[in-house]
Amino acid sequence: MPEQIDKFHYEVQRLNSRVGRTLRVCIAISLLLIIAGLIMFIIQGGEAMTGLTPVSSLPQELMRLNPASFITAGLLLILFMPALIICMSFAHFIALKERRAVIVCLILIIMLALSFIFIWA
Amino acid sequence: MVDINIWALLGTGFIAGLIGSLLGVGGGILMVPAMTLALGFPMQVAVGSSLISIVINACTATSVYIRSHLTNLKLALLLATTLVPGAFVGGMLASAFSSPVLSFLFGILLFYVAYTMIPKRPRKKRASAETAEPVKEHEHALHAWLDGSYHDPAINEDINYQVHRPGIGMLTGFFSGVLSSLLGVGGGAINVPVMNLLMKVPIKAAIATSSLLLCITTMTGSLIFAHNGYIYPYIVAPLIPGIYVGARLGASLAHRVRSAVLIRIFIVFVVITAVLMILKAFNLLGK
Repeated sequence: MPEQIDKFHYEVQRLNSRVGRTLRVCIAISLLLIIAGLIMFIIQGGEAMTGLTPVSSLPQELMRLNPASFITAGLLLILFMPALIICMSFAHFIALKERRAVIVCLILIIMLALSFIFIWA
Repeated sequence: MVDINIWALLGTGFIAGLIGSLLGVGGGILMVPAMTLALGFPMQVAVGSSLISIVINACTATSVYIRSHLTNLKLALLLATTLVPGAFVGGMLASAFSSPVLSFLFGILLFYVAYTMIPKRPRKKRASAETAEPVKEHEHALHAWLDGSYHDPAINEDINYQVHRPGIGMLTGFFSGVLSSLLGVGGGAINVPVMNLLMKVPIKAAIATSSLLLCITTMTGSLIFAHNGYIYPYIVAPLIPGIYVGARLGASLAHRVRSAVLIRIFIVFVVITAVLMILKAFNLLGK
């Protein structure tokens, strides 16, 4: 029994480390995008109250070096980080066959999916 | 049209990030008044920018806490199952209720929370901030999967704790989600005391777990604001480097200082928030 608990704690710590690493990478990329966009805005100037770049035209605007599109890309990455944490936990708990945690993650994923559908409906 | 003062936005972000991650709250209660009263941004823009900043602030703090194994991931995911729908219901109810009445009630609630967190005369039982009391064996079997442990370098000890009353935590979480959405704050001011006082989670683990909860619950609100066109890239962009630096500094300080110090800081924060809420209820805080 104690061996099982030790293994379980080890696996949870492994998941913690993996989630922490992913968060740091995502934060670094989004920070780079946002700071690059901010520097480009300071250099180029422009209208302060410009809205977010629509997702559909994001790749073209990034290619055209539009500062707002760089910031939008960084913000989108940040907004999807929490969903990424839940998905990573879901995959990890499935591998561990940790049924209760899998059910909790699944409920959360369904709730978030419904929220996205509701917002964009 | 509002002018952008990049340095002022950077400074606002830094202070909100530092205090937010130090206390496991989003920092929105600082950012919204600073942006509306001091920098002159419209309320919706301030709230939208604040919400997206709470996600960044909380994710930055979480990345530090989770590496130190302070975050109870499974507990956060369990509580999020009621917090997320709560936040959604709160967002929908926001237009139906009178905001001043709710602000006033929330202010009173925060005073109560601050009162309950004031350290009482030293009793052995009160040491729950550092060491958790055991749950009855037959009750524990049902939620043993939520138990957590971490190493506390401030007292150089491994802390193992059992989570009490997860059902009550989830129920309170729903109302915390509703209130946080109604009042435009992250909800950490409710989550941390609930986890610490009701669920007997040590304060450091409660703060770290609350950070992850903030990431998840504020994401939905941010998406709604982004969809409604209240998030402006050139206003949010200067806030972010400030928040990043502040949140990292706050999270590393939180890991080193003793729990008693954190509780005192948290009480001061809750009282300030309560005063701000009551001022807002009587319209003494400006538009």
